[in-house]
Amino acid sequence: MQAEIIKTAATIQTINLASPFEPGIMKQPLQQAFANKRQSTRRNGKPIFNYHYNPNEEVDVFYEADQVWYKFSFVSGRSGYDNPIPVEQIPQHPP
Amino acid sequence: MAQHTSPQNRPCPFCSAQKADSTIHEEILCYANLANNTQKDIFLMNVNEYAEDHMCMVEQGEQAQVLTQSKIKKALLYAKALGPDYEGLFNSAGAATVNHYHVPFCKKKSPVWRNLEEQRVTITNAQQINQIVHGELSKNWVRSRFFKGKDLDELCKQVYWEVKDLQQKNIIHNCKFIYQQDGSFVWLMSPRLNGYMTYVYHFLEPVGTPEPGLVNTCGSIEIPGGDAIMFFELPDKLSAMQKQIMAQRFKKSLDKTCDRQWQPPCYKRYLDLTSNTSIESINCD
Ligand SMILES: [Zn+2]
Repeated sequence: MQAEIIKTAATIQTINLASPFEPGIMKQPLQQAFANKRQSTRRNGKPIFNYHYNPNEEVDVFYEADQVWYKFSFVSGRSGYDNPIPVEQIPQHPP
Repeated sequence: MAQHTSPQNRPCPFCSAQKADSTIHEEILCYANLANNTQKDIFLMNVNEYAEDHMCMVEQGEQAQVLTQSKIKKALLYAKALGPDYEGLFNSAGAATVNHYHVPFCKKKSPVWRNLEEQRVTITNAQQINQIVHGELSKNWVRSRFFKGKDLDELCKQVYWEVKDLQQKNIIHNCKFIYQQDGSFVWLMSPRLNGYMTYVYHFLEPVGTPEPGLVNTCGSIEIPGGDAIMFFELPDKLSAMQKQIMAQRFKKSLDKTCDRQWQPPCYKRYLDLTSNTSIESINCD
């Protein structure tokens, strides 16, 4: 298991965008960089991501009254945000 | 005009990212360098991602979260470099949590784009000036200015014409933008009354639950995108009826935070100042 973890690369790639450049030229290198990060650890050995995006937590809602789409993303794993404050404790902000 | 500040007396995370020994430095995906850039920009991953390929373009140095014409152009150039599958967003100081210049990008999934494609939301009060179409999203959506065109410099000028007015009046603004397959750029911009997020947990509560005040935790509503980010678990059962209630409450929250009073500055003056195009056809009331 340990052997599969790739250490964070010491060098960070620079993408030079000449003028003009091809649309989408950064897509592949960035997706590769994301993939590398997912398999990397920090210098302290901990994973870099705290939380992973999960498309199954997204709900598209077609709102009948206005005939438009909205989207709700339920992101439960983000630290510090899991417990909504009870309604009676909601601070009122100044306008 | 907003200054570069650190959030709540903590060190600025985006200044920290520039230091090689910092934790945030480990979150750099790559550097990017546009032609005529004096300094490379940083692309940081979001370690608490709530969108696919959730990242953030950060300028080096201590930069305030304030749009300029060249910053608008840079944001749109990066949208083009990422391609039509991605969208970018900008939250002005007051809506952003960190006042260091940053522009998040992620896979293009905001419902507003789908609503525009399916013509569920249309453009009203449209004007075409120097090949740029601008107008407003129709009323069944949150108030948003709309700009579209292929001439990047002209589009940036017109966006900045309105941004400058919002900045001078201290009006918070949220922007979403894309590069499209046909070579055009689209910029959406919503003027806001306040920068506070809504207590999104309310969206899920049963009919009749009293409406809470505004808070800055538990979630986030994205305008003009039409996304609600809820920092809690997806309930097992979400009935069709509950979904409609969620949408209804969401729409209400969006309306509450958006400014419908502000009027964009006159384009006759814009043309007087910037070009020699005929101004007869331009209507400023
Ligand atoms: Zn900073």
